[in-house]
Amino acid sequence: MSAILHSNLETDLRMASALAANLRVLLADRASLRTSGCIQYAGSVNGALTDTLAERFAGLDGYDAMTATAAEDTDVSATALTDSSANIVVARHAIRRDISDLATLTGNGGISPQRLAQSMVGEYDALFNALVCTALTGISTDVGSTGVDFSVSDFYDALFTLELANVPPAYHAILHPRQIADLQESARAEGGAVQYMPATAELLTIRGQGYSGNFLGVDLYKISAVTSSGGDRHGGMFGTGAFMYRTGMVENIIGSTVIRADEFAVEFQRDASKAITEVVGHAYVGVALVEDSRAVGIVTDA
Amino acid sequence: MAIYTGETYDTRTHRVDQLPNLGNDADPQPFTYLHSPASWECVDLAEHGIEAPERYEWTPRLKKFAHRVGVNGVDMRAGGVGRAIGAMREAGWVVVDLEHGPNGASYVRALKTSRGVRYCDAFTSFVKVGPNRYAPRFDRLGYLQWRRELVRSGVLPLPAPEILEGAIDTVKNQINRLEMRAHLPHVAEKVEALRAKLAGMQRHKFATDNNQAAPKRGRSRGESA
Repeated sequence: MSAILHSNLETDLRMASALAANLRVLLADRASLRTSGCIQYAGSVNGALTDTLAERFAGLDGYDAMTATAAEDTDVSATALTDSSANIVVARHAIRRDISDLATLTGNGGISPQRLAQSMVGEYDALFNALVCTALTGISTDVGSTGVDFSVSDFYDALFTLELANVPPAYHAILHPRQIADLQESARAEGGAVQYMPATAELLTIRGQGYSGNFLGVDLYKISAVTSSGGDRHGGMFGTGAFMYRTGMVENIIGSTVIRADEFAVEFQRDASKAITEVVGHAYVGVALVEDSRAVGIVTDA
Repeated sequence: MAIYTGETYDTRTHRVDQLPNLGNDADPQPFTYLHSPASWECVDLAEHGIEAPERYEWTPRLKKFAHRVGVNGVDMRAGGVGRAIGAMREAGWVVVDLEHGPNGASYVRALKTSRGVRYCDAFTSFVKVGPNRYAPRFDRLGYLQWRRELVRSGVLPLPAPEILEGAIDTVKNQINRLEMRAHLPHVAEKVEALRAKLAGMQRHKFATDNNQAAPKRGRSRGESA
């Protein structure tokens, strides 16, 4: 009498392999600098009559000091006002995914137009991280050495550069995972009261993935999108206000189903003849380094 | 009677030439190299195998200015990149034109990947390290020699001494921090290396006055054994 084996049943009653019901996401950097608070929001360009707004800076509130007069009736001459400006340009960014009706109806909700729309939050955050990391390369002063791993000494150099420039805290550092790992390795060899405070589970819940802890009073963010050039990673340390961003939002989209999030919108477009639903995410955003003196670049081995 | 034959069509060649998704190792947009007059570093030429009269030489750092709309003033309209680069030039940055690339060619390279065209610099290549995985390989010596050449040819101006003094002070601070633990052998080694580097930095040497290889020493002719 032959036994009923799984292998026997595979012809008609069993499957050799099947897909698990749960859908998991691939490993990726899902940090969000947008919600970290280190990049200041400068406002919307809606109704501004331009896509480029110049952030205006004036030397007031203590930039210049009063001086003593020669006599009580000295005719004081006017002091010129120092000013500068930096442009933030808002540009369109988008991502599109098409899904057929057959793909949707044979699924169990894992991949559907709604799930694709929900995913656009992460895609917008990834865009934002990339824009900020690209903007880091505009910093004119750097610490670190080409081809040399990031160390606590370089960290101190960056900190001193900001302090010498009288940049008010809070300080933030956006570093590549390579730079974070090198810093942690270097910190192991440090003695004395130097303490690296890694992100606890509670802090990660509050600040999200990407927050790597606090070191010497500087909040560290670990972002894979930190650019490379010359065989090095170009991170940066800066005070609040060095980087700003602006957004735009389309108010009325006629003829389409739209979901509006804070800073981006998701549209559904139907191609009925092909039985395909197009899910398109739009974001109008721009990031810029508005005050170079508040930032220092960290250039170390990749 | 005319006979029409088609051309050989083989998609395999296209796939072989195409790299997989390189992620953040290659840029989705081209770039222009910029140099900030305040950004110089002192390089140990001996570490790179370069023989020169002066071991330590000040070399400019270069930054990639990405042609990416929405970042640092680059707008979507025609000429947006040019306007943004012009603004950087007005702010004091030095622009390295494409014609100043290594051997007169452009320093930007385009790569075909499964995610479209990606860009990298002329010193970066990609080597296969696993199934569908490529790692970047960077030619540090070539990049250093190219930067030295930019200084020699005058494309990048020499810095003011005050800029170098700022960098020299950071090395002095490093030495001061480490001297407290100089009784430890590995720390003493670091301090010695930093002192040698400090001495080299203070000589303020650049590629313009350091382009001769050190003369090889050997027995002079006629010297008896």
